[in-house]
Amino acid sequence: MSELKIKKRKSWQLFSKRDIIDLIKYKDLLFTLVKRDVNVVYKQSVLGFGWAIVKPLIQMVIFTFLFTYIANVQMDGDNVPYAVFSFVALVPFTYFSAALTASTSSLISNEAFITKVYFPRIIIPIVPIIAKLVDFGVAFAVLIGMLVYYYYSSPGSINISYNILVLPILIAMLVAFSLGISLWFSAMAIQYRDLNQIVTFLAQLMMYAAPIVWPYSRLMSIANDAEKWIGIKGFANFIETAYSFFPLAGIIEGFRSALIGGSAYGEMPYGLLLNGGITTLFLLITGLYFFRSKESIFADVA
Amino acid sequence: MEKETVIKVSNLSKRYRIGLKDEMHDSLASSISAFLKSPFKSFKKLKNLSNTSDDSEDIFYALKNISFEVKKGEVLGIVGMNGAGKSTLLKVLSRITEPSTGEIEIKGRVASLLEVGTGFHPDLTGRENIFLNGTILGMTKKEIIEKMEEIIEFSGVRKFIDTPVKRYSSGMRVRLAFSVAANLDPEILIIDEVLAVGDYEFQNKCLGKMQDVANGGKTILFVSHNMAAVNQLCTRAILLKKGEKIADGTVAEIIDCYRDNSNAASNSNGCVILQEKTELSFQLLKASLINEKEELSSYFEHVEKIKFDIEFLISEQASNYYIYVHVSDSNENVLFVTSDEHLSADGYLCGQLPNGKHNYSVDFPAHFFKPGRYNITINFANKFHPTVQHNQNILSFEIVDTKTTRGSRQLYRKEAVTAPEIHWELKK
Repeated sequence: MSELKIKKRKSWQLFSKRDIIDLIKYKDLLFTLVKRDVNVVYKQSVLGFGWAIVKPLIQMVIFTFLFTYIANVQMDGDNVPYAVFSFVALVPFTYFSAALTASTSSLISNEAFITKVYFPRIIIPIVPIIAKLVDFGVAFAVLIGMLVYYYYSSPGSINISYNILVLPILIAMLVAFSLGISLWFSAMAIQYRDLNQIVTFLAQLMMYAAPIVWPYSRLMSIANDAEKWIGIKGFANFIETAYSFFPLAGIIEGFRSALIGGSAYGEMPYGLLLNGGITTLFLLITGLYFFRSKESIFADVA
Repeated sequence: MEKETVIKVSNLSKRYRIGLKDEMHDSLASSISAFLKSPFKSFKKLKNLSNTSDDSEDIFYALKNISFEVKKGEVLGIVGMNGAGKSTLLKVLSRITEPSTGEIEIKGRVASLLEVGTGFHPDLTGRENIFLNGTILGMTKKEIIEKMEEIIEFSGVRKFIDTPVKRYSSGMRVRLAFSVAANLDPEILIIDEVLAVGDYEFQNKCLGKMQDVANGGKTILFVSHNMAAVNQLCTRAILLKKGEKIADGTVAEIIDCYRDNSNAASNSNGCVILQEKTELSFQLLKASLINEKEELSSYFEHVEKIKFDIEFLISEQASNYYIYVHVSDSNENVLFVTSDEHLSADGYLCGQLPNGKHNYSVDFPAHFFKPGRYNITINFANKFHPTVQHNQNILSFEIVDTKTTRGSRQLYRKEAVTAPEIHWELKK
């Protein structure tokens, strides 16, 4: 018979053996909740899973129109169609923003469980992170279809290389980064409800901050302009280094390198990925810690 | 043989921070400055939600130094009035919230039923919800698949099991939820107020199921206001009051104690006194309920005779007056109406009484009321008007049955309004 001691947890205690046992015991709950999340979104909807495709697709069309015909963005060499260029980035970003928003509000929307039953709370923000992977998968399939089309219709625009093997690592990093931020935000959002508004806004900001609609190579020229304008030597380098710690930069450039290749994206941006990886790991560990430290009060403040 | 202790609660306390009253602003300037400062203030306030360490005036003890032990196979009733800390205790026991100080040791798998139907999603079908609910309560998928048939059978909603739960009636939802929980098969079961829902038949089915669980050597903690259910199910009980444990003993002792306490606390106390008004010629002064021990009470046993005293004042003589009383149950069904009309030849005794205070004593029979809550209404009437003065639900009382076996034989049916003693005889 298992024995259990209930008392106030010490704040420095991240995970006890008991917590690990619990997590394993409740793994079925995680999967059931993921299944629920996936099912519920598409129940009583006409398009069903089609929605996972429609959203990034429409964004891509709009951006292609906006940035090639109206803003006339300079592309890096090659003849990579803007549609491919932006869609390759939009697919991971849409996942990130959807997972982040859903996960942030997850504790609040599952308040009923939290105040009524015990289970490892960490399951709740993890559920949308996994559930949104289904949408990601669907959108990714469309992306592959698109790449295949361009591969044959305009030869030379898409180049396949060994870089594609890095893709699983990129996806893992994308998931880890989403989870890291979500752990922070979800734990805060249950106490500070403003956070839901902030996150929607933040996701929008990140969309322009990440090299989604503009090529990463433009960053350096912008930074150089800024250096000239401010007049501090080395400012451009500083900007570039600082920016490299933004995980989405590495992930998105990585996606392009893995799926588009060619002269512009032939090289996997390992430097960016390393720095982004450091940020991701940092967010994940601190997020886990923060979530655990807040966990005990969820039922009280919800 | 001394049985094993499965739950040991020692010096358990739970503190909460309660909101202090917001300041009022009487000038535009002060409200503007308050508005500008409000983000900082709200932030501080929200931050304080999680900070309960310092002892300031807004700290509230939901539980204070509670200690008790539960042995294996015991069915412990936890009783107390609203706000006594019963639900907080169960929440701490089921790990929903952390204690502020003290600790609990639990041996065995715990399942808690704090409000059934937690985690039902309206868009999912009954079957999908069984999985969802079951896993939330800590079952594995394999266990659920094994128990599926049993759960569906017990719930009695087989026909609708593949229909989204949002199309269920609330009763069906509760039944399904309870079935999941009842088939959990834990070593320790924590139950809070589940019996408040569902129809009578299903309530009995639930009680029966809990009885089975209890008989199977499982330990149950049961919180309820339903003294009849506590009496029927529990082997021991504790009484909480304002977060403190004030009594621990057999069910009968605790129910007595609970009654005394709630009598002391409720303002009616089995007695109501009305303000004398000079402009009225005919008025009710006092109404009281008296038990067989000649004490004021609002709790009575089913087997107990209830004496109902009415004191009234006549300041101006008037003919054609009479008093009638009706007793209604919590569903507003009037059980009976009784009056003083038979006390005089013309049926208006009140009208013939001299000025001054008078008392009527009315006997409500024993072996008559079902367990439950009842309200008494006293009406003054005259020949021309049936309600000259209407004192609706002026007093209420509760009937419990801890003395007979009627309850366990399921003889208090919902459809029956009363439970009178009927004469039976075996013919030779």
